[in-house]
Amino acid sequence: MKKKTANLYVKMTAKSPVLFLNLICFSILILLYLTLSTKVDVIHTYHVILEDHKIIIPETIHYRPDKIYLYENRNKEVNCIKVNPNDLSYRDNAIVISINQDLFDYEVTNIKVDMPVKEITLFERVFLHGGKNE
Amino acid sequence: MNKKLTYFSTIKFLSKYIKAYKINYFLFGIGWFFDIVLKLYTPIMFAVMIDEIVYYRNISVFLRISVAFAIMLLFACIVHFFTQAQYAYLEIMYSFDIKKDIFHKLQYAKADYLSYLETGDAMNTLQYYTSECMNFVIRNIIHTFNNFLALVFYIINIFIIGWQFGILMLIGVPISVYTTTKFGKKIRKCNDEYNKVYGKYSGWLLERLSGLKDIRMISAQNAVGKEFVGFHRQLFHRKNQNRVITISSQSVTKTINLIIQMAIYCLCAYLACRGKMTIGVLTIVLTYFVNVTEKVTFFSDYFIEAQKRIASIQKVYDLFHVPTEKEWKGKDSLKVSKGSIQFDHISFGYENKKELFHDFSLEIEGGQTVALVGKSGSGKTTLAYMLTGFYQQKKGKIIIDGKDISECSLKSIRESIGIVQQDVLVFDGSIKDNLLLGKKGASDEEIKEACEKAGLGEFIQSLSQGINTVIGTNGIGLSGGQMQRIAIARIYLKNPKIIIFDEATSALDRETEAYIHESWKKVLAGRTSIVIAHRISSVMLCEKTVLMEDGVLYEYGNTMELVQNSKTMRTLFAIS
Repeated sequence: MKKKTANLYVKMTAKSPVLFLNLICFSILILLYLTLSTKVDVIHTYHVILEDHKIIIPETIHYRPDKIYLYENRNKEVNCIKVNPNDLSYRDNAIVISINQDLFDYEVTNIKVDMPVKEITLFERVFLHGGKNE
Repeated sequence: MNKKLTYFSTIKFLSKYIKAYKINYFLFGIGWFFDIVLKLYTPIMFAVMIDEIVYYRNISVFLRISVAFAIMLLFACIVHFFTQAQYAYLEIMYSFDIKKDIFHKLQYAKADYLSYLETGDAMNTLQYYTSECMNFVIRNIIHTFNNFLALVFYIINIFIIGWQFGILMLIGVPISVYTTTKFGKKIRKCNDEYNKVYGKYSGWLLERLSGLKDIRMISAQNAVGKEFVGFHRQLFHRKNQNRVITISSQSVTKTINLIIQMAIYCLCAYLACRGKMTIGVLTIVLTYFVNVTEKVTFFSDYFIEAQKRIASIQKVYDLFHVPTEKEWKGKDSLKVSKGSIQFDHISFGYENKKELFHDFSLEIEGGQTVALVGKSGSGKTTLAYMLTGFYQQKKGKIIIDGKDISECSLKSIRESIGIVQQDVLVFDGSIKDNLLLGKKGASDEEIKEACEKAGLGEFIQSLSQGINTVIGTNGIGLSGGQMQRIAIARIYLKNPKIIIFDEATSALDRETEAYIHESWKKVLAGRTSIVIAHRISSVMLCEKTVLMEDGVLYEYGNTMELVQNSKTMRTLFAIS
C-alpha cells in the first residue's frame, strides 16, 4: 500500500471521527426506522368454552378480531381461525364466535384462545416490553 | 517511596494520557456500546421471530424481522471494524506517549537514582508495562463501564420479563462480586512479588548475557547456571501461588453462577409447564442468563486482570516519579575563561549511606592538571561528577571561575566540561556521526582536524570511506586505544575549558597508554584537567596530585614531590 493511501486509510478509519460518527448515527437511524416500521400483533390469551360450533369467551372485549388462535396446548398444536364480522355476537359479558368447521376433539375444560388485540411496532415490543407479548 | 496505586488512582494517573486521545476513546466506547446494545436485543428479536413462526405461522412478520435483523447485523459488522481500527490506533499511540515520557524521565533521572536502576526492570517497564496502561484503559475502564451498563440493562429487561428471574439475579450477582473482590487483593499482592522478582531476573539476565565471554573465562558457568535455576524457582513459586489463587477465585465464582443457573432452569420449567412462558421468552431468559453470567465472569476476570495490571502500572508510575535533574534550580549560563575550580566546604552522601564528604575543600587553579588518586570508594569519581552536576552537594559550594555552579544551568555546566571515561560510548554509525556527539553541526574539516589532533588521522586515511566509515557492532571494530582517541577527538570538537579523565586508560596496555598520553598532552594544554587514575604513568602527566581517603583530602601537592616524599602515595602505586 502506498504511503499516501495508507495515511488516508488511517485518517478515515481511526484519526478522524467524522466517518465513524456518521456511521454510528446512520446505524442508529436505520435501527430506529426498521424497528418502528415493522408491526407485530399484541396477543391476549383467554380461557374459552366450546359449545356446538361456537367459541364462548367469558370476558368483556371491546374489539373485533379478524382471526384467533385456538389451542389446548400451545406447544403441540395451534389452530388459526379466520373470523368474519357476522360470526361475532355478544352475550352477558361474553363474546361468542360462531365457526363452521368441526371443533376437533377438545376437552371442553382447558381450551384457550390467543387473540390479536392490536398492533404495535417492533421497537415497542423489543425495547419497551422486553420481547413479551404485552 | 511512591504511593501505592489503587484502581481509582490508576485511572487518575492514566487520565492525562487519555485526554490526548479522548475522541478516539469516546469512539471506541461508542462502537463497543453499539455492539453491546445489539447483543442485548438480539435474543429479543429472535424470541419475537420464534413466537411468530412457531405458534402463529406468521411468515410475513418473521421475514420482516429477519430482514431488519440482517441489515442491523451488517451495520454492526461495519461499526465493529471501525471500533477495532480505533483500538489498533490507540494501542500504538497511547503506549507510545507513555513510552516517550518514561524515556525522557530516564534521560533526565538523577545520577544517584540511575546507579540503583536495574536495566532489565527499566526495559520491562518501557516495553511491556506501558502496553498494560493501554490495556487497563480499554479493558478495565471502557469495557468495565460498558459491561456494567449492559449488566444493568440485562437485569432491567429480566425484571420486565419476570420479577422472579430478576430477584434470582439480584441475589446471585452481589455474592459473585463479593467473592471476586475478596480474592482480588490476594492476587495483587502475589503479582507485586512476581514482578519484583521478574525485574531483578531481567536485569541479572541482561548482565549475564552481555558477559558470557567473561563468565567462561573465569569458569563461572556452574555458579551462573545455579543462579539462573534459582531465579526460575522463585518465579515458578510465585507464578504457581498466583495461579492457585486465580483458579480458586474463578472456580468459586463459577460455582455460584452454576447454582443460580440451576434455580433459573427450575423456574423456567415451572412457568413453561403452567403455560405462562412461550418458547421465545424462554429463549430470552436463558440467553440473558448466559450473558449475565458472562458479564459477572467478565467482572471477576477483569478485576483479577486489573489487579495484575495495576501492579505493572505501578512500575510505570514509579518511573514517572523518579527524581530528575529538572529539579536543578540554576538558570544562569556558566562562562568559563580560566577554568579555576573550588570545592568550598562541601558535604555529600549517597541516599541511605553515611556521608562521604564532610566539609571538604579543594582549590584547583585555572589551566592546572590535577590527578585524583586514592583507593576505590575514596570519593574521586563522586567529586569529579559533582563538578558536572550529576550529584549535588548537600552543603557548601562548587565554584568555577568565581561562579557558584548551583546558580548555572546544567546544560551550560556540561558544555563547559568534557569527560573521557574508560567505556567510550560508540554507537552504530559512521565515525562522523559518532564525533558529532561532541559538537552538533561540525563541518567535515573540523572533524578531520579533531581526528588528526587525537591521533586518528592515519587510521582514518587508511579507510576507504574515511570519516564516513561505519563503526560499532554493524561496522568495523575499534580497539580500546582507538575508542579513547574517538573520545579525545570529541573533546577537541567540544573544546571545553575543563576536562575530566575518569580512569580513561585503565583498560589499555602500557604501549597503547603511552600513545594515548601523547594525545592527552596536546589536549590538556591550556585547559584545567582532573585525571582520576590508578596508574602512576597517568598521574605523572599531572602537575599536582590530590590524595584522597574516605572522602577526606589526605595529601595535596606537587606530583613529583608527593611521589618522592609521601609514603601513602608510594604504597598506593607500589613504588619501591
